[in-house]
Amino acid sequence: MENMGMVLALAGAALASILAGIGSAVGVGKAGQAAAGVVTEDPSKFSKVLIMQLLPGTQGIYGLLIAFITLSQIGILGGSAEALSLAKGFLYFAACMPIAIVGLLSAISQGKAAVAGIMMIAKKPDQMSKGMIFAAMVETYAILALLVSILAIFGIAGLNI
Amino acid sequence: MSRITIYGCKKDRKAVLEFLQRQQCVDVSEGDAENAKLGFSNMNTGDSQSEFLRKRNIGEKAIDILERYAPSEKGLLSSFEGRKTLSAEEYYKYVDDIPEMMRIADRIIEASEKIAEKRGQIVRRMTELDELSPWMGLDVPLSETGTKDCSCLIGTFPEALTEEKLLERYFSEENAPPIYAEIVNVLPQQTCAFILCSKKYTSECENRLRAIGYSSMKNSNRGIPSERAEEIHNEIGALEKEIAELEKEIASYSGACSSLKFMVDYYAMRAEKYNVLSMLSQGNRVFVITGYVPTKTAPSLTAALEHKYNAAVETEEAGDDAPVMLRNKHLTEPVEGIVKTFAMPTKGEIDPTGIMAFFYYVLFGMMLSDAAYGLIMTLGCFFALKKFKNMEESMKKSLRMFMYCGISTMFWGVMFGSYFGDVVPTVSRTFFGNEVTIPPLWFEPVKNPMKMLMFSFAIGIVHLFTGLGIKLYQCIKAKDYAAAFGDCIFWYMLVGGGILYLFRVDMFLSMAGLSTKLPPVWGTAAAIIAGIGALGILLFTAPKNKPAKRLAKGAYSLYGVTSWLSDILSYSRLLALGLATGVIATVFNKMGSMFGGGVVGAIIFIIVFAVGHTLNLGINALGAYVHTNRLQFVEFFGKFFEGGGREFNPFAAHTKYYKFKEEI
Repeated sequence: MENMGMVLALAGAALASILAGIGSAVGVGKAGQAAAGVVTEDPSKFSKVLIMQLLPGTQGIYGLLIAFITLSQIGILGGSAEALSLAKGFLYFAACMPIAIVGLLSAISQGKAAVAGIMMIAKKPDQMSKGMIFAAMVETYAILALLVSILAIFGIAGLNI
Repeated sequence: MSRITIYGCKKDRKAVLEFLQRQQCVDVSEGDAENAKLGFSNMNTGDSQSEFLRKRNIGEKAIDILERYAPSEKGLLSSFEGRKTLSAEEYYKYVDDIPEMMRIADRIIEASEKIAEKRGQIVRRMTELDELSPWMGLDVPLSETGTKDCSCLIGTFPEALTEEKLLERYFSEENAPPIYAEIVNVLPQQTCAFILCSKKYTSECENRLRAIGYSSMKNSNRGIPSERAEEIHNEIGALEKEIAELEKEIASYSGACSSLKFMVDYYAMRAEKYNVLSMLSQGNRVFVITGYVPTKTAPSLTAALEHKYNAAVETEEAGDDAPVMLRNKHLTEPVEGIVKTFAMPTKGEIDPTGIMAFFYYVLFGMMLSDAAYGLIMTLGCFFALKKFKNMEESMKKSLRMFMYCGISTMFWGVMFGSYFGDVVPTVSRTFFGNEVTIPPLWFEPVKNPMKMLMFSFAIGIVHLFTGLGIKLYQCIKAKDYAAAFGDCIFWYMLVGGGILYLFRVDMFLSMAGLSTKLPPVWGTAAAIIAGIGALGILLFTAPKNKPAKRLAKGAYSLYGVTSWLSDILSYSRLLALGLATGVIATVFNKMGSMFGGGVVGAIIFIIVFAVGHTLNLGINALGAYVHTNRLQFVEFFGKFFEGGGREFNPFAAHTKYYKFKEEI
């Protein structure tokens, strides 16, 4: 049982990258389908729709970021893993959840907004930056979740439990 | 903007219009309705316009086809190259070419349609060949019906059969007339059979065969299968040869590409000119052009028109419906495009570009915040600007904007001590044994995220208060003092007082890691200021309404304090995106250094470094761009900017491929 803390912390880190990664994969995939449709009609719009397709991809990166910070905090990366108390393990697990869950759902929603933006580019390529803003609105919530996760993880390191 | 009216003689009309198209400084509008009473009328040029546009589209289509069959070589950076400038001499040479080009364009389109048709024919032949393939062993025509005494039945069964099995099935019925059967081809789902019987039993035999699954091929009229197949092969060969010839013909026109492009531009220009022509008021001898011109260029334009073209020109102060043109200095000009994306300011509204540009660079830099990435961006844009002098104006502006953003990124990178993340300590530790670090000039956000968060909020408050300041300025300029107080000054007091009061709250102080607590008297003062602000908003948001409604509206406006809270919290993305760049860079550095020192380790490190940092720079620069825009559009513009003006769109030659020199 004395190793459960480490297990929980690692599970949190894994979930952060798994869930946020799944969300981004779904979002980018959807946007990619729409983008391919636009490119069949007009290959010159490739770079524009590619940027739109990338937008839902950031959640996966945020998940990776949290997973990475957690791994180095608990010592799995860097090779100085010490025993972690159960309470601390739970804390890390909880700290990873905001970006894991919000990352999953917001990336999927952002993918939908990006698809709509790509449709807009097909008709009005000059309005591209507005489409980008619409998709970026969704990302705000992923950023807020990322922020909570980051602050929590840095805060846990200093706790003595 | 000034409103300009140009009166000229009809004989000078063409010259005046061409002059204006070159000058690109008059936004022509419909003539006054009053002119109609004076016997002026508008010319209907719709037909000529659509004719020009049709010709332009033919040219465009031909160029498209030509690009497909004879792609012109394009460099990786060709999108930076601007349109080519043509001299007068070249212009007239190209104009002479136009009838010939029209013919070529038609010919190219025709050839491409023929190719499509022939491709369709080939597909049909292929299908036929597929159908024939099981019958290749048959040496009589598929349409064969038999001889004088003997009928021949050619057809298929929907299963795999052998001769014995077929005959066994057939003769299992009693009194079946005799037949001879030969299997031509067997597939798992189909057996092709050739069957002979005596002529007098033809229909009986056929009926009995049908009962065991036979269906006839009788109606096909295709000759001996193997011969027919060869025929089809020859036909396909011939079609392919024709297609190749047509493709060669199209490719042979590739030299005409530049002339075709000229033709497209030429007709686009003429269509534009005729569009303006339709807006003129014309009498028997004279014509009148009305429109808008930037006040600064009005005198020189007037002088030129009066002296060179015998025209009379009147200018006057423009009304409220005038179009808007943004004018900014070198450093702030590049972000004009961002403002235009949101909305053009209305006439009389302040142009936010200048103030926004400063924040734009700062916010972008904080989000990307890596000295090396900033340097790459700055140098990349700088060299692109130096190398491609002929670049289009809008492209130039974007590159200049990213160059300044890069400089700001460098600045914040040095402040926060990030150079490709932590590449310096990683490389020195892995490959040289002793760790070298470059200390940040200010502090490292990863080590002290709360400090960075507080700093982000501080930047946000400055940004938002600046926006509110612009609103205050506009209210005072419009002499709307009630709004100046109700919408601006009281808000300053409420939000400012509230923030100041936070420095008396223990919980906030410990969260922010601040040790100095303000003396109690400050707290009281802050609370009083905020209270006055709140009361002011409650009472003076809608001072012209009846008391009950006035209070209700004030209370609703006071509820807007929640939006202030969320606006300020929104700036936390400065921290999140800044950390994301640094941490992801660190991840890549760590991945690269996992293989240790030595030559192999160094090679792997270089590969991981190059790929990883390219990816990181791309994604985070995109993120910084998008989120800087968001902070400007939603948080900053939300405080004061309404927009909705019409952009100044001068009568000019909006061409796609060429620019033309002055004297044409």
